[in-house]
This record gives sequence, C-alpha cells and structure tokens, in this order.
Amino acid sequence: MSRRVGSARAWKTRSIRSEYFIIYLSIAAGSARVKPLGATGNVPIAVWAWYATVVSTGPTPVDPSPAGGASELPTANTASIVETEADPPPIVLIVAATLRRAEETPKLAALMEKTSGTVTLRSTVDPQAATIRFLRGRVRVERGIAPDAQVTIATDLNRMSDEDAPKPKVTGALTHLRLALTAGKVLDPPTGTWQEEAARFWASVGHHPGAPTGLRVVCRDDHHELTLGAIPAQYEIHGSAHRLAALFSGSTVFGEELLAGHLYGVGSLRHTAELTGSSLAYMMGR
Amino acid sequence: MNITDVPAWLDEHAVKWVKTEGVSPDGLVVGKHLTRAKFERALPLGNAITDLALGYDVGGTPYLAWWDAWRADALGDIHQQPDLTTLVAAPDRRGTANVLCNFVDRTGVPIPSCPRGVLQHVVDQLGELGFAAKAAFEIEAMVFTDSLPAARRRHFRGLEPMSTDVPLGYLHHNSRQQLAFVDEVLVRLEAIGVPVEGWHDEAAPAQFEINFDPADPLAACDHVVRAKQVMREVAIDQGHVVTFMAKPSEEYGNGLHVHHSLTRDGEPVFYASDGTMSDTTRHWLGGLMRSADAATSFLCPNINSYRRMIGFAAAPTVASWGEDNKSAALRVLSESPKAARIEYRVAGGDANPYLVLAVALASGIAGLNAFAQLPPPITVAGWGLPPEGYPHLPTTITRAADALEADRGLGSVMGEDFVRFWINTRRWEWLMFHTSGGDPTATAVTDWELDRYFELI
Repeated sequence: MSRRVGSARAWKTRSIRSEYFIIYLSIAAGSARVKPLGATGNVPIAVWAWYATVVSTGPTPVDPSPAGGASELPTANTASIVETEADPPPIVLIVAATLRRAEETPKLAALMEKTSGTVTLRSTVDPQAATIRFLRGRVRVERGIAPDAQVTIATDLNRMSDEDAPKPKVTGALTHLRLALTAGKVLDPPTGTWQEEAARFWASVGHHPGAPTGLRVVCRDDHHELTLGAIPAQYEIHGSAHRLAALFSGSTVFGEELLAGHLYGVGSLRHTAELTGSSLAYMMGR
Repeated sequence: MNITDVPAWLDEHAVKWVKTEGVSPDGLVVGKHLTRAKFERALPLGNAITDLALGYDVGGTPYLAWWDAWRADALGDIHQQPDLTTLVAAPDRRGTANVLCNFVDRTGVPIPSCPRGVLQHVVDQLGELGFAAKAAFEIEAMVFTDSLPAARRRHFRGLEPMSTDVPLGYLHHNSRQQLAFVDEVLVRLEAIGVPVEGWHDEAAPAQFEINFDPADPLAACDHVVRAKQVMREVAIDQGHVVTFMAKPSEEYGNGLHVHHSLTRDGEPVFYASDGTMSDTTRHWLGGLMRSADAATSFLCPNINSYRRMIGFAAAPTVASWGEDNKSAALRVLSESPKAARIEYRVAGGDANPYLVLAVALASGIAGLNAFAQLPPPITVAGWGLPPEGYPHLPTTITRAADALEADRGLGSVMGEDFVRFWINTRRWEWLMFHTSGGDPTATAVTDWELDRYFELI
C-alpha cells in the first residue's frame, strides 16, 4: 500500500518533528573527533536550524524579486550581510534567519564578516539541504548541496528532537576547523531568558490580524508567569523554561510543540493556528 | 427546479439516496450520501459538514497556520447548499441522485473559500456591468490500463498507456484502444446532461481530450467537475486508472484550456461586424494581460503544475496574447466576429475549473474597471523568447503566490478573504513539498508529486 507523502497519517505518526527539525551538532560528543592544532581536546559546536515557512496573514514576503534577479537583503535588518537566493526553500529561509539573529551579537557579526568558506547542511532522510557561503563581508545562503563545500553537516531530520538522536556526521572539520567552528557559533546564536524572548516575540507578532489580544505565558518549572498584551489574556501557553525560550526565540513551531506535548495551550483553535503561523513566520525572519 | 418540485422529481426517478457534491479549493469533490428523507429535511440550507472540508490540503493535512474568519473558533460545521438545477439521476447507481452544492454558513451566507461560490460572485459582478459570459472547456487526461490498486503499488510509475507509446496526437489507432473507456464515459455524461462537442486522441501516450459545448460559466465548470468524476468512476469500474495531473511524466502534460466570450443584451461584444476589436475587448484583454502573473497561481496551483510550463511543449510560458496563436497564453479567435472568443491556455489539468474561469473573468472585469491598456500581440512563437520584452509567467508556486499577493485588481473582484486564503494554501503546499520529502533540485517529476497528485487532483 502506498503511503501518501505529507498526509495526515504522516503528520500524526511522525509528529511535526518530521516536517521541521533541529540540528544539534556536537563534535565533542564524538561524531567527529577534532584535534585542533595538535591538541587532544574536543571542540563543542552546537548548530540549530529549523525548517518552516510563512503561511499566515503576516507581512509581505522578503523575496519578491524576479527570477534570476540580484540577491536580495532581508527587510527585517537592512544592515544585514546575509542574503538568500531568489525564491528560497524553507531551509534557506530558516538558516538565513538564524544567521541574521547571530548578527545581532557583535562578536558573531564580526566573525561572520571576516570568514571565508562554504558549509553545507544536509538531511540524511530527505532531500533538504542548504549551503552557506561565507564571502568575507557577505554571507549567502542557497539551496542544495554545494560540491565545493569545505564542511558538510549531515543529520537525520526525523530524529533530531529525540533524546537519543543520532549525532550528525560532520565532514571537513579536520581540515577546515576554523570554518566549522564559525558555522557552529553563528548557527547557534545566544538567546535570552524565556521572558525576554517572549517579549521580543510578542512585539513582532502580537499585532498580526488574528493574533490573540493578550497572551499569558506560564513557566511550569517555577510557576512564574508573564502576560503580554491585553488583560485578561485570550490565550495561554504553559511549558518549561527551556521549551518556552525555544519557542519564543524562533527555534520551535508552536503547533509542533503542542502536538508533541512539549507545550500546552489554552484557547481557541483560531488562536492556536494563528500563533502557529506566527511562530513559523518568526522562525523564518519574516 | 425549485424546492417544491423536489419530491415529485425524486419520486419520478425512484431516488432513495442523494449524493451531495461540493468542490474544495484543490478541486476535490467532497460531500455525503444522504437518505432521501434526510436530503429533503435539510433543504433549503443543505446538510451540515465539517468546516475541515475546506480546511485540508490535498495530502489530508489540516491547515494549521492561519484561521479564516468564516471558521468557528474551534471546529464547526458549515453547510452544503444544493443547487437544485444540478440534481441528476446517477447514471451508474440505480436509486441515487447527485447534486452539486455551494458551501454556506448556517445562515445561508456563502463561505468565501467555496470555489463555486467565488465564481458565482464574479459572474454576478459581470452581470452588474451589463455583460453575460459563455465558456467552454477542453479537458486533457491520460488513461492507463493498470488498475488503481496496481498503479498505487507502483507509485504511478511505469504504467501501461491505453495507446501506443509514441507521442502522436489525433491518431485513430489510439482512439480505437480508448473506445471502450471513452464510450462509457460519453454514455454517462449524456445521461447527466453534460453536452460534449467531441473528443480525440492527444499527443502524449495515454492522453485524450474531451471538448464541451459552450455554456453559462457555472454550468461550464459543473460539466468539467462532473466529467472528471465520471472518468474516474468509469476507470475504476473498468479496472483502469486516469489522471489529470499537469505533468505526470516527461511527455506532454495535461491542460485545461477554456474559451470565453462576452455578450451584452444577447449580442457579442468582442468584435464589431466589420472585424474591428471593441474598446471593451481592449480593456478586457488588457486586464487579462495585466493579471496574467497573478492568475497563474490559480491556473497552475500545484508544485507539479510548473513542470508543464516549459517551452515548446504546448503550454505557454510568456504573458502574451496573439491572434490565433497557440503558443500565446491568450489566443484570440476573431475570424468570425459573432463567434469571437478568447482561449486562456495556461491552466493545467490539475486546476480547479471554477477558479480557472473565475480568475479569467475577474481579470477581465478588473481590466474594464481600470480601463487597462492592451499591449501589442505577439506574432512570433511564444517559446524560447528572451525575458527582455517578453515577460515570462511565474515559474514556481511561490512566485505565482507572490504575484497574486502583489496584484491590486483580482482581490476586489474575487473577494479579498478568498484570495488571502488561497495564497496561504499555496504557500502551505510549498511548505509540504519541501518538508515532507519533495526534492527541490529534481529536474523531473518526483515520487512526492506522483503520490500526492496523480490519483486525486
């Protein structure tokens, strides 16, 4: 019996994690043993990337340019050095958004500015792939696997959220250590507390048509809470500090987190859907 | 037929069951099988059905990234309001009647995302301007001798065409092999009052085309919907499989060309009797040209649709119009002023006929309202042209959605809520392709496309 791709069955059984993913690359954990400059120590690198898109009533897409047109800069940050190809697929948008977030940290921005080299992120379970070209003062993100990539990160997208997720395979880190380290740093930009991230998220999406007028966020670790927008809040999100920070920093998708049982939502399906769309858009930097 | 005539009609046809048929934005026919008593009790509003009927993608995944204003805050019901003029005795099931429906809310207000309702809304506006339209579709399809279960097991690859394997069109050697299938289709279409003008073998292996008589816009689209259903049913009954997918293989794809013309007070308005093009036509056609990129979103609705949009393979690739030019997007046929018409040649076989005609008429109305200027026709072949001076149609589902979002004329005619809904669904389709196994670097049709579209679209 054939299985229809993208079907409801696939949605339920594979969970939304199969649609999007987290890459967690830890050279320290042993997928690639790195011995920098003859030393024996390991180098930790964490890389997070998510896949999704804008399917909400959000603002105009950042990529309206015609086919074959010049590279376009993101509207969210006109000073950004990160560009994407025209008509980019989700993985490219997500990676680009992550890099733009990294630019907000001066040290990471400086690191990106002076780096040269090509890194590919590749799924081992489906055709999704993105290539990051660091071009000394410019960073370009494109679809696909670049044959000239010096560093390639390959990972099982369907299992990246699992506790026992297999470690990604990294090739090229031994010969291009600095590039691998840079990629790891800029793909894992720092995040604030869940409260800080929630406030930032709300400032970005709270005005969207269809959004709840107020959002109450409850941390299940310590029962601290925060209400954004109008009181009483039309919608509530409950979860651990870690999961809340991940959601509000654009690392996870709200609907996925609900389906997976990582977060809880109290409110209408209308607001659940709108917040899911908003979190997708936020993840994409739109 | 009005509501008081229904009991007698049901008696006359010995109807025990009624199949309600609503058409989703993706063109899927959805509804219920009701006992006669339940059907009658539900009139005039029609039976309730979950609002998810308009809230699933073609892969069965609920849209969960936006929420349309017409939907209940949680899950709710909408209604399938029967269009009693479409009530017919099912040609293949004794005691059953079929009826086409519009989706409405519990007060009878049209749901903005109902494609049949969108077309009705556009036709009403055309009427307010004093015009009436006629339309006629040409359906292309491919039929294979394999059974549906066998085709599924093979993921719709390597199927046996019901014809020679040579890409020749109009070949009676091929139509002879398709006779048993097509004859049964024609018998059933005649039984339900779908007027066929003719049919012939088409260029791709397994491909044939059926042409319909001109009809009022809603009826013309109803004919396409019913013909596609009949073809699917006959294929199943005879142990075959049929597809309307735009590009199921590397051969020629399936199109859904539509001809349309306008009248005012019963008189054609496109050309004067001396053969000169009227101002109405200039603005109308100018509107069609102006919205060509945006309209592509409806005419080429799926990831796979864009594989058909390549040069020298019958489908137009440039936003263009031309006199009797089959390589143009809009082919104007004016040889006979009284029969003058415009053939819109962009739509793939996977497009929803209500939306194909709705966007064509809406483009024209927007053109009339804006006194749109008509660019010069192309008199050369419409393929292989440089983009400078020859604007190419969008080449991906996202580019077409972006063009629709940027368009300033269609939303006001088709309904802003509907256009927003449609753009969201197309971006969702793009998301599903990329995140559930589709290969964006593939240069040929992928398993993802075949598994998702071949059987259902």
